Amino acid sequence: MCRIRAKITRGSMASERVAYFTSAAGETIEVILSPSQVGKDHIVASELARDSGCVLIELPQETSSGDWRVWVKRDQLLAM
Amino acid sequence: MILTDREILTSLEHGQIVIQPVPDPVRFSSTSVDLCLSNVIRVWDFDQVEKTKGEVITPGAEFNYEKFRAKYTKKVVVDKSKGYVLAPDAFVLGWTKELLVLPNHSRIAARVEGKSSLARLGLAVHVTAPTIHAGFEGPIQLEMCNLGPVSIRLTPDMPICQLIFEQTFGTPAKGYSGQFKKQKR
Repeated sequence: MCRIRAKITRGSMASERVAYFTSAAGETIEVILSPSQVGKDHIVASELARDSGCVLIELPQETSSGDWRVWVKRDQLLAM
Repeated sequence: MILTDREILTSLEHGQIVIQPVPDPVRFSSTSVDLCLSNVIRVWDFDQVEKTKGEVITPGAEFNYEKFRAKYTKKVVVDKSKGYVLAPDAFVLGWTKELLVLPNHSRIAARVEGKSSLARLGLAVHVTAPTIHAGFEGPIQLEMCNLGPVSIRLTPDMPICQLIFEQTFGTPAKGYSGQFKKQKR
């Protein structure tokens, strides 16, 4: 597991949180998660692979743009 | 049993599943792989529908789907920069960009399902026919319908559906030889 730096906002339902984080390509990624899947400033994801300064993560839910897996820069990871 | 990402990759390496082109690593999830939309769709020819108003289709042994499709639909090659705008309640046929082969001996079948990010917008990608039988070869036809109130732009190469692979219990006596084997766009 790993923690990815993210901006967390309230969702349209009390059971939802909307997280925004930055992909390795510089895009802002939006994903709707449950409160247990986020912290104050991060989301929890699974780390799958590393490649030249980037980490491939798998999210607990599909992003708004339809991805489960996203490359992020290594400096977006927070210590566990 | 549903194949996990690792089992899907192993099956791809051994030719037990063939997907061409091979999906990028980010297209996988823990138990599925996303496929993308091709640039070909078929839309209803409403002039023809109007001309034959009152005609009733009788599905069955005498029914020829290819003739029906040729008569009532038009092929559209979608420009990637413009996409195709699917209006509310519109229904079109699309295909995956990828070709799928499930060799009979692999004992693997699959289901094509929608993606939650698109389902939330109202986009359905099949009309109650998600099964990809063992022995199937071809691009996957998608019956796409916009059930939402807002138009949706469909763009070639966008992730459009997900495939879930399942191992069959035993080897089928006969591979899939239905009318959609080796279907073309």
